[in-house]
Amino acid sequence: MLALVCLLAVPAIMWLGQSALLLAAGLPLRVRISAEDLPRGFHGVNRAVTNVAFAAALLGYPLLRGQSPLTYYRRFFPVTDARPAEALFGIAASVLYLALLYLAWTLTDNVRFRVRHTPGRLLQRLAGVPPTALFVALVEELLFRAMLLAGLLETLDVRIALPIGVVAFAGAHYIRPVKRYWTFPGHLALGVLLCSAYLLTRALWLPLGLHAGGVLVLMGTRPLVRYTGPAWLVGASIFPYAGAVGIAGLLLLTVNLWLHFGGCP
Amino acid sequence: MNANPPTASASRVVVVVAPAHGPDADLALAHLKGQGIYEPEWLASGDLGDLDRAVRRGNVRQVVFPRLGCLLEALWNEEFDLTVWRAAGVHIDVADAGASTESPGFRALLDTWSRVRRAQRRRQAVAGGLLSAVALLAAFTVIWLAR
Repeated sequence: MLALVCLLAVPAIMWLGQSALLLAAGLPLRVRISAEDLPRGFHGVNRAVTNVAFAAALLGYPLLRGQSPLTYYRRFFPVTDARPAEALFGIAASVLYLALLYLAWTLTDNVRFRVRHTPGRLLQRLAGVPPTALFVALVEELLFRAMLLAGLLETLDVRIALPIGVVAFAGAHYIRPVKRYWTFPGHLALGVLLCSAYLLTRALWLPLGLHAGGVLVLMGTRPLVRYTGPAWLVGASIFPYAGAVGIAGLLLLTVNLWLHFGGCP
Repeated sequence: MNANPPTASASRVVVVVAPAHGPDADLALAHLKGQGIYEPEWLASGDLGDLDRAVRRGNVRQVVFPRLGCLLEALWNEEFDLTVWRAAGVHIDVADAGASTESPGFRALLDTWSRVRRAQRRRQAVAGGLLSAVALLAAFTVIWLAR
């Protein structure tokens, strides 16, 4: 339960930071966590507060348990028996599924190739994709699998811990106002995949690889494609996994993992 | 442009698909002046995605394209769904005096485009669904065989 408390501290810190900035800007407080209306100069500080909130949760959780963060998180990255190769397996699996889907959607005119930027800007964006994918995947996996799910599994049955882990992961993507809310089932399916990957291996290599591979493809294709097919089928923007096909793909990949990594955790 | 959800007091806005300054803006302003509209919103980015979302939320009552070419280009590129816009009661206007969207010929063009797109979308969905199933099956099999 300590893990859940630490996770809930993230939005709490974000809200406190936002409230302080709103007061400093002479604006009324609001319940919702949202940077809109904040003066431009405050946005950087608001982002810094968000990063501090994540760092506080990630570092505070092991410290509250009486362990150093390094000791706590190192156990999720075993290096014996070629375990790091699970990350490569994860990346390959994500890329394979997404590449074949984008191929199918391009051939059927559900996705169109269109460069959104000048060549220089495009190269700049694409160059930033691999480190961003790795960073996003690492932070989210540490937070939702190494901290939350592993923490929940210490006191709760897997049948309770897994749904909580999945819903918390999906819900976290909607703390701030977003353009699309219909993507929630897709985030739930993604949560099922990543939590299953952790449960099956009890390490972060596989979920990290799957997550990073997915972000890599989504961010890499984002400046190059435009969705023209129905969103219920193929999703939209960086959410191809939120359409019916994407959700089916996530569930199939989950079955793949169960078959590959030995069934029941 | 204002893409916020409507509030009880919010009125539906008029949006010009052009930057607020330049020849296209002058064309649109001259056109709107004839309708008694002096302060439209401007879609400077040219990205119709935001405008499309605002239309779907019911925030927009009229969209003005400076020239017919701008409207047709956006239609061919499917940057918005004409059927949805028309169902939302959005009046689509072209500022260029030579192209009235109220003319029967123009309305026939838009009607035909909507009909063709509906048929195309059905085909896209069926073909996309079928080929997606093949792609998913292929990916599943490759990983399954890699055990």
